[in-house]
Amino acid sequence: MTESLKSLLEQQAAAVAFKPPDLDAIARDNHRRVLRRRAVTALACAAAVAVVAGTAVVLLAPAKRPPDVLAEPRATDGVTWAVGSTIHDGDRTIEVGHPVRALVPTSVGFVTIDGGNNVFSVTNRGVTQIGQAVAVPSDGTEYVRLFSDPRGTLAGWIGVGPSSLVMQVHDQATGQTRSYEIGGAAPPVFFAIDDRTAYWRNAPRDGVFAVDLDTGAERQLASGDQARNLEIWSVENGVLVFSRDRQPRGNLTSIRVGRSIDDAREFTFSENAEASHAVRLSPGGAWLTYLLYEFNGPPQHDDVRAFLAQVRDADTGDLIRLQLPQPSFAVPVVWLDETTLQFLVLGPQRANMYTCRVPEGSCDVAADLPAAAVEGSNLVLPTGGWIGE
Amino acid sequence: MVAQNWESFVEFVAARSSALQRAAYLMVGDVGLAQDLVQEALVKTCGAWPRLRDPGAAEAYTRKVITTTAMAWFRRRAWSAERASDRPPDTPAPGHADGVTDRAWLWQCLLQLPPRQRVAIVLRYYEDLTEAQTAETMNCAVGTVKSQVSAGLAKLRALVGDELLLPPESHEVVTS
Repeated sequence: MTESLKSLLEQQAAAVAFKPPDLDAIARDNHRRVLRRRAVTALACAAAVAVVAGTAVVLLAPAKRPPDVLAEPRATDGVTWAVGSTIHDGDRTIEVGHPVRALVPTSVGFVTIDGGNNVFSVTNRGVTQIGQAVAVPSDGTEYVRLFSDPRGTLAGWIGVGPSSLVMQVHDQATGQTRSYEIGGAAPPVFFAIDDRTAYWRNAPRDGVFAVDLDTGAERQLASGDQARNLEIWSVENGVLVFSRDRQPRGNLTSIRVGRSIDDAREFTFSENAEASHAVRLSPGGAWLTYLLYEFNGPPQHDDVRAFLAQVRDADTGDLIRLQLPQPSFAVPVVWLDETTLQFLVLGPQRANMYTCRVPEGSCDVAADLPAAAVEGSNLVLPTGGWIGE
Repeated sequence: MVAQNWESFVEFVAARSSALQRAAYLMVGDVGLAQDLVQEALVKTCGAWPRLRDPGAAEAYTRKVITTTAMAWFRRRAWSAERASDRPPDTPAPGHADGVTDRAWLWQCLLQLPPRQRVAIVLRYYEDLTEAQTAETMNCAVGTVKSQVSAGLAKLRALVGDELLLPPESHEVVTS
């Protein structure tokens, strides 16, 4: 026997005829994985993009149509989602007349984006086009996103201004859309709207700012390297959830919660676990929710053992035990009020919207989703995320 | 996945899937399981394709998924069908010591090794990975690779005897 181990192994392997991989199956399986991720990614819209220059120029956009002024509060206790051109909002359905690719709620209605990136206001007065969004680079790809304050009447997006990309904010209470210029070519990064204040990164001015959307007055939250590495995931009632050292295209190994960038408590996730950046604070800022990825080993590789929807006390970090069905894939969607959270739950042969209450953790089915809703790219969650890829 | 990415992914599958299937087969000893492992690994690779960028990274990524998935499968499985044994397989009959018999004999001996030892040997001596690359692929420390390979080779020698030409314990070139 003079053959080496290597050549014997080569001969053994070469003696076998393998079937080629099934590319169609790979495409189908990958599509299902993308859908799962989209369900997660759609939640990431708590992060937003917006920017205002130091001398923020506030422009009043001429309305192409009569403004859709409405002040009737929308019942916000029902779960919400959209399929096709229909918004499901609690017990009612709203036909908006265009395919909904992104959706955010406000206190008086919704704001949507269609397949052509046209932005619409949806209220009891009807459906009105209020602008056009553009895709901005994020994590190596480009997204169109909507942002809103569900307890207020404002919704925002990135649009095109006279000379650059601008943050545009529509007020459903007045019917006006304002544009906020950044004074540079780099696209703004819109983080969130909270109580008539927008949070964004202004790359040309190398800072992260909070801007009063009524007056244009701004407050700088971070500058220089700190601003470049700062990502704000959610702002509610003045409480911020953010990361100071987030890696591009990475999930979160820790988050910070506080009322300022420099005075915040850091929560670190356990070893071999990371959170999606779709971290959402409750309206009062007392609770936070996110989707946790538990890996079989070091999380740098795509080897997820489990997806866990978690809710924690934003002050103490105490974990709330949720009574969601098992096995299932549950995604926290949106807070309906300070103590009620909407979940999308996918399980064997079923898809449901659940509502869970904190701190008790009890959960109930709020709606059964039709099979068509969870196939393809049909289901749109009220998180502002784009489902049009 | 956009069309351009899909086309480059298909090119990668066409170019490298056979090699990946062969390595997977040597790790698990079963053609069907090897095909399933590669299929599953390619699904994950497809999902990760936009960030993998170059074919070398894609192959390393796919190989790691195959390896870690195989070892996870080994852990889940009772491993009763191929439990490691000190008893060597039947020795080939005298007069039939040709290449085919040698190969079959060595193959049977290799299948007697504990899974992690076999995986380490395949990665080191079939895939020609360094100890560091093997450790990265197996998601373990370099020291673990050394011990797994050493134990695997020792057992292989014990099973096949001294007649079979085995590779030296280490053939890495060390420079100072």
